[in-house]
Amino acid sequence: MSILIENLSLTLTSQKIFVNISLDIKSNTFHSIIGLSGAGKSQFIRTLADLNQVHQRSPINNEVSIAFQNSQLIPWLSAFDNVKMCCTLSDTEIDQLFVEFNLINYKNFKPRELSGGMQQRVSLIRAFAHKNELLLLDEPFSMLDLVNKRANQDYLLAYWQKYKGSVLFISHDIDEALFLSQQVHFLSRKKKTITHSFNIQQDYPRDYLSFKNSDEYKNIYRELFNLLTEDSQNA
Amino acid sequence: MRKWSFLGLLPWIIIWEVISHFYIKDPGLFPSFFEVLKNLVQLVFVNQKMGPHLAASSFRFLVAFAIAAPLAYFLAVLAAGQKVIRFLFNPIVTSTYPLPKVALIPLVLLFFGTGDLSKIVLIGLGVFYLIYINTYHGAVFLMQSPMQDVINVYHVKGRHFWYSFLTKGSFKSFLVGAKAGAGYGLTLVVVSEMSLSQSGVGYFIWSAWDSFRILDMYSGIFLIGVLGFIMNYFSDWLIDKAGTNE
Repeated sequence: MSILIENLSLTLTSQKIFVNISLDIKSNTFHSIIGLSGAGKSQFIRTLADLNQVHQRSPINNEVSIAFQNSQLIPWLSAFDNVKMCCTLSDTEIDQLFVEFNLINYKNFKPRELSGGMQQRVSLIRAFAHKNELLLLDEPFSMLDLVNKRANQDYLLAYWQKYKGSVLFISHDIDEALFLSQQVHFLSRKKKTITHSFNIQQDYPRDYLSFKNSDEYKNIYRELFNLLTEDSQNA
Repeated sequence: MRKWSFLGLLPWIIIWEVISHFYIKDPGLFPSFFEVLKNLVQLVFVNQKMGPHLAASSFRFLVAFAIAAPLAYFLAVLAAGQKVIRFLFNPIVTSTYPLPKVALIPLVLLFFGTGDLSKIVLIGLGVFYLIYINTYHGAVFLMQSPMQDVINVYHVKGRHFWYSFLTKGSFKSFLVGAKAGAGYGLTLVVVSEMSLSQSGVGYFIWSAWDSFRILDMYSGIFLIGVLGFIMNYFSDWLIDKAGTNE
């Protein structure tokens, strides 16, 4: 089922955050939005998840789940209970998810007992466990070191390829957006809307290093880099 | 560090000793710390005069606390998460909270008689307000925190919302309220027993004063201080433990 976002705008305290954003997210596709800090990426995600509560109802009619930048795990609950409280899956099904994300031995740990990377994986499990049509990921790996970030990207892609669903990933990291996505959209801070979209043809599974050396990666990287640089100068 | 906190009392005990020995002409009016301590040990363990009073005060305090604390916790969480309950309880709690509970003694006597029940009600009232207000604000803070986004996105409801999120999440605020409430409750135990009772540590202190048994009066006051210190110590331990569980 395709998710259609048409001419979505957000104004907060008479300040335009983004205007007329339209996106067609086809079923089982992986999209990323890239933009500078302050471009309105997170606010866009929050609007789709109906967290800004400025619209009468959510601008899309689809059930969404979300993984936040700071994981937002409930600190007094175990990793398992954090997932359990947000879904209707059985304990065995949740256990299976912990196995898939290689966290089964940590399921009874409290968030503070887990590393940043593990906390984000629990946040991903929670997002996948909730039956949704659109998974929103708001820079979930931005606070991780390179190795942990790469590992978590692999977990995300492996699970997504297995179970599918539509994903909208927010990032300010070109490399991450290109490696993960089939389509990357550029959200301009200056124009407050999506001005460019790029299709990435490379099939999954992608080998990180060889993908980085491909012409496709280099060309789109260059274009996005120029767009970001230009946007930062004009903003 | 906390387990050595009683050492902070040492300088004050020394000051007490110095004043009683060198600055007070009549030691009967201000006995030394060790005399008071020795007398208290006598009252509690040797002639056991304090035993029944301590038991009566403890009974009133514990019953009042056991009823008021869970009730305040429950209602505060309910009020934070449910508009109707908030509408029903918050105005009455905030408007009656500033009333000095001691001023309610005649009213409590009128409705509950001169027995244990009137004291339990008075102590319970004091405990209730402090726990309710602390827990309510703790729960409201949770609902305004970024964690509320998780609750909204995943439509967390029922047992998970009320118990796993709000009740467990505001437990630390409840403990802070319980600590303040216990201290205030202890004050109300003494005050209520001074005016309404024939037993209890408060009654013991007042009757000692009335019959000019100054040393006994000091020992009774000192006992209340010791009980307050123990309660405070235990509360801090619980609050720390709740903090490390998060």
